[in-house]
Amino acid sequence: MNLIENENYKVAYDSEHQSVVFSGILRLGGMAEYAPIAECLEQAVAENSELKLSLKALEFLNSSGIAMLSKFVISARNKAEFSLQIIGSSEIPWQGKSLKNLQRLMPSLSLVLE
Amino acid sequence: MNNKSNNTKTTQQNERIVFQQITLVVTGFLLTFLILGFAANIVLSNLEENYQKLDYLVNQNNAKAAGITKLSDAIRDRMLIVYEMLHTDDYFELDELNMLFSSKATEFLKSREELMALDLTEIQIQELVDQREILKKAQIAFSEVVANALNEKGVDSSKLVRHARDVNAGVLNRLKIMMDNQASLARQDLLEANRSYEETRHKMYVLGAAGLIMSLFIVYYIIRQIRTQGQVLTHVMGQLEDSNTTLEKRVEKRTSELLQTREENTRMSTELEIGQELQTVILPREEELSEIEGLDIAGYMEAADEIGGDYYEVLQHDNGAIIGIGDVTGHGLESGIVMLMTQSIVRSQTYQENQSISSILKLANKTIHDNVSRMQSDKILTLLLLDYKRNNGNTATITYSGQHETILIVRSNGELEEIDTDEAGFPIGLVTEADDYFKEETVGLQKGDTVVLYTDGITEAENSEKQLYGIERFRDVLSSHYEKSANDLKDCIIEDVKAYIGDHKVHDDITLVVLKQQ
Repeated sequence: MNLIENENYKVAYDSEHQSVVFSGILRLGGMAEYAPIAECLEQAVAENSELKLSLKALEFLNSSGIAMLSKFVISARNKAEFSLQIIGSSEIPWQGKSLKNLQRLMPSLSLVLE
Repeated sequence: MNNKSNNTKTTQQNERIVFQQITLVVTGFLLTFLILGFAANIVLSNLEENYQKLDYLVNQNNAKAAGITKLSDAIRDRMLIVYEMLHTDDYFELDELNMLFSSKATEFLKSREELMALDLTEIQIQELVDQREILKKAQIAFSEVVANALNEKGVDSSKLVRHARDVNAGVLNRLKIMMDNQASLARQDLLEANRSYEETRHKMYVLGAAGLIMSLFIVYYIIRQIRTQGQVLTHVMGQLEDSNTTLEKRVEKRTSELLQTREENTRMSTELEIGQELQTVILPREEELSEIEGLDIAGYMEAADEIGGDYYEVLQHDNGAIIGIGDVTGHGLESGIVMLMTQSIVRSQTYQENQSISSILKLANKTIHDNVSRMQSDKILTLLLLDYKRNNGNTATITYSGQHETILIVRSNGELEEIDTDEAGFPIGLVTEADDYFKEETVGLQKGDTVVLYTDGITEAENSEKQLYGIERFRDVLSSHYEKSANDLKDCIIEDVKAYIGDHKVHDDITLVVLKQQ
């Protein structure tokens, strides 16, 4: 279990269940501050052939965060035979359009809006 | 306030400690004085007693010695008188000697009485009583001798005198022994007095030493107390100093923080002002809007205090106009810069003949992405471009590209169309390889058709209950007022949104562009 967290957010990578769960509010300043999370996601891509990304408890993600997720999806797209599933919430405003954009970056991405 | 009260507290504490120390010193001195005084009193009273005892003994001794000597002298004198009486024939002399003999007897008795009045030992008293009997015999003998002498029977007296002399010699000897005894007693008394003196001296040493030890103990106790209080004081002073230092540091830190915050606030507020200025200064002017042939255009933008970065544009070209609307994330200077760059790219590309809006968007995407990376910023934006082209007559076409909010079209008959643009583009600046995502779609326009472009500042406007204005309400307003001119329709919409927000805070820029096909 790899955990990155502070009082506002939590990102937990569970290698056993091949999942990364995001929760809280992510409003970090710039790509540099997102680097630890980006590295964690890169590691998850490298270690697995299947990965589930749960964002349904992530209430807010700023544009840097969206950029970080987009870069992660592109890197996942570039890995052969890699299957990625993103679970979002249809009730959180930022997610609808942004997650669909992620899916457009990686057409094989399975997007579930709960 | 805390510091002041701490100081007052410390001063009070200091005063208390000084008072305690003074009390200790005074108490110590008083105790030492009392102990030494007590010791001196005991020693002095002992010495006084010894002196009185010794004085008494000396007086007694002297008196006894004088008494015994007087007794001896009287006996010796009487013996001499008897001898003289035996060797004289003169009757008158004999008579005189007889009288002297009697007076010596009186003297003897008197001395004896005096001696008896003294503090005699039992042995001495017994001795004097015994001597009385002997002396009585001697007296009888002497009296006979004296009578014989007076009767001139000198020959018979010789035997008597010898007898009396022997008796007297015995008495004298006893008196000498008595004298010696008295001297021995006096020596004993002296020894006793010496011993008592030594005892007193010893007592004095012991008491003096005790007083000294006690004084030392008191002095030690006082010093220890003073030292302890000194340590307490040092500790308190240290704490006070620490707390003062901490306080100073905190004040310094807070001041620095405040200054920094103030600087930061000033900087941010300045940046915000510049950003807002940048945002509004490049907006199309009223006259530009009215120059577009075939279109009635109304534009509105209100920059919020917090979040800014909305953009709209109307650029005339040979056969119509390029209309754009966008929303840069964040606010302030960077958002303003990104918005300016976007405007420049769009404008510069419209000078190129036959440049498609999707190409402009692709170019804008790469430029903004690379520039924003260079700025080490995280700005992205939504950007929708419309290429309005007049046809013959009152019709026209609108080609759109880019991902933004929906496009609302109210046809002249009131029918409302909402076009989703999600598939027509991609966030500008998010990823470089996004060319594939920019698509173009075209819709036709008839006379009286109205196209409404907006930013999320309208649909996400909040009322005091934090409920969003929403697309439905927006559509209702459009449906109710679509027949109005672009400007009036714009006013109706803004009025409704403002009424909805009420006193609640305006969170985001509100931007609206109304295009009416004439």
